[in-house]
Amino acid sequence: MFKKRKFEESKAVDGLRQILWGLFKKVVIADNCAIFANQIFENSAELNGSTLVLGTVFFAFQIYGDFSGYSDIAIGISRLFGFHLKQNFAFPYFSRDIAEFWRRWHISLSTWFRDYLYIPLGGSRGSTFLKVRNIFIIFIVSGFWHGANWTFIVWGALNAAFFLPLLLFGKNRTHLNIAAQGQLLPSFKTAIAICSTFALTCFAWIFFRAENIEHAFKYVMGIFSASLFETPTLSDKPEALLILLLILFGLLIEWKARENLHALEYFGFKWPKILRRGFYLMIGFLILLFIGTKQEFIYFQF
Amino acid sequence: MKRIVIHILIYSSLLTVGFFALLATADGATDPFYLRFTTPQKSNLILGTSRAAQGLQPSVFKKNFEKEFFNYAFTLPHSPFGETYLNSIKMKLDTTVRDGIFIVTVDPWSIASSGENPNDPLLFQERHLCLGTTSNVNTKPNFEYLIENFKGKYYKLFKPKSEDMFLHKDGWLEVNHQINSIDRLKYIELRVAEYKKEKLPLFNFSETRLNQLAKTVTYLKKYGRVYLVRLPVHKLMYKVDQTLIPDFNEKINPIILLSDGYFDLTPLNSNFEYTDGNHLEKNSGAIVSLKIAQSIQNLSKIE
Repeated sequence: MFKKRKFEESKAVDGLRQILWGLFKKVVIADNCAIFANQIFENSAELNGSTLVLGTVFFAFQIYGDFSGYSDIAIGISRLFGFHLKQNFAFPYFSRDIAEFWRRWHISLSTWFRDYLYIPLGGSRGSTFLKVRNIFIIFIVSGFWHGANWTFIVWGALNAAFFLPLLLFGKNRTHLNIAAQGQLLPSFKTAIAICSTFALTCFAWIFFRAENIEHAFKYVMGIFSASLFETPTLSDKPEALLILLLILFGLLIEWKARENLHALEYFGFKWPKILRRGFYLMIGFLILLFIGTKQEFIYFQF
Repeated sequence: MKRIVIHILIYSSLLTVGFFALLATADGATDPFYLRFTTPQKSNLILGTSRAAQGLQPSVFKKNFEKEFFNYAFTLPHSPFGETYLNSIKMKLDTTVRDGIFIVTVDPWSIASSGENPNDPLLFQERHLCLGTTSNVNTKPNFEYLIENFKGKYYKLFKPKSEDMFLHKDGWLEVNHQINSIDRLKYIELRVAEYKKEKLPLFNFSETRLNQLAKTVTYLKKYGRVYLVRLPVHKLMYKVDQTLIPDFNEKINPIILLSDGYFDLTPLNSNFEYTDGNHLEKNSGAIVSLKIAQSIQNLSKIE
């Protein structure tokens, strides 16, 4: 029953790299996106459509950076002590459809819902009515799990609605591999699929983040207005631009590492040692530079 | 295991050195307070809230008295009269000098407090702000201040200096508002309306703060001459001040008796320009500083 635990340096080092990347996602990406996401969502009535779009993008990376960063830190710490925890986020924003997104986002919870709710309900077997019912149940319960607010219910229902066509046309398991596997860049078709999946996810996040349903609908209406084509109006444009650049930097690293368990698992292994170590130091320094007002982990409220 | 620990130590050391080297670049553009915590102890002080911090220019006093002056005034939340401010003043003051000059600016807000009980010092918010949390106010670079009190992200230390606000080495906070007179009046009306709506209903006269002002004056008297000054404000702001503590001059009368003189400049309110109704514009600040310096000199001659 009891097994003597042996320290494995390679695993511990890998754990430290994962902690480093988790901290980067939490401190540099999520906490800074939160400032703009909060600012935009709280003042959405006065802002133009393009700013509201930016608000949803900031929130998408806030919630991803926050929760996947937290997961990376937890998994990395476990690994440091020789435990192996399952991957919880498998680069979900590179998904090519919503079904793939849900296989890659919050894997522990999605798996739990699949095993203990979806499959006992009958899963994808049975009549079309039953399939539709099961999908809506699982997504709405998932929304309800986040809080007793209509916004979460609508968020769940929206995801069910996005998922449904894939299920009904038997396309929900089309993308079981990794986007552009073995290639540096995605094909045009893959890029469009990734971007449209991200857009759908962002649309659903509006309901997740909004204060109430009315706020969410007003936010959506604000986006789909003539002001969508105006320049974004932000109180601190240079800082917003800096954060967007950091998001892009993070995405590039994650894209390069999308076939691995975490972004820094093998990143830079082909570089000279000094360069790779310099890269780790740079990430560490960025974390220190962006430490500021304490932000709670967003998922602590759920 | 040993190798990994060594690596962690090396990485941590390099990051720490880099981080502290970055902190050491902090200067007057860092924030409106930092430099005040980085000088050696001072023997001639300007004290009060933001009205004094922005309004009174130590260089003007230096010219008149041929002495170094230091502006150790902060803001209404940070430095109303109280135990926290007095303790910080004690740390900043060079107690080896006995002929100092202390300009203590007073106004209704600096002896008032918000909260349920304006006389309960445990409810005074300044205890948790930089004057309450910085135990060493005379060191450069002041890492304690930067780590405990620097607001925002540290990468901002790299940002280009702002022309709107700069803290000088003598503690004077220079504020430049590029605004025309019509817009300025609108801005003043807006700011005063904010004070009326957001602050006035929350603040009440505090006997505790008045007693602390008395303690501050008594303490400073041991090291030189203490002059109380009520700085001019825009007439709209003055009305708000008068609403807060209508009998302000009567209330501070016992403190005036402890001091070496009191200069109430509010009758001259209309002679000066203000950035927001509450703070003197920098040219007006220079004139007011000169006026105070001359008034002190005249009073000294009479004595």
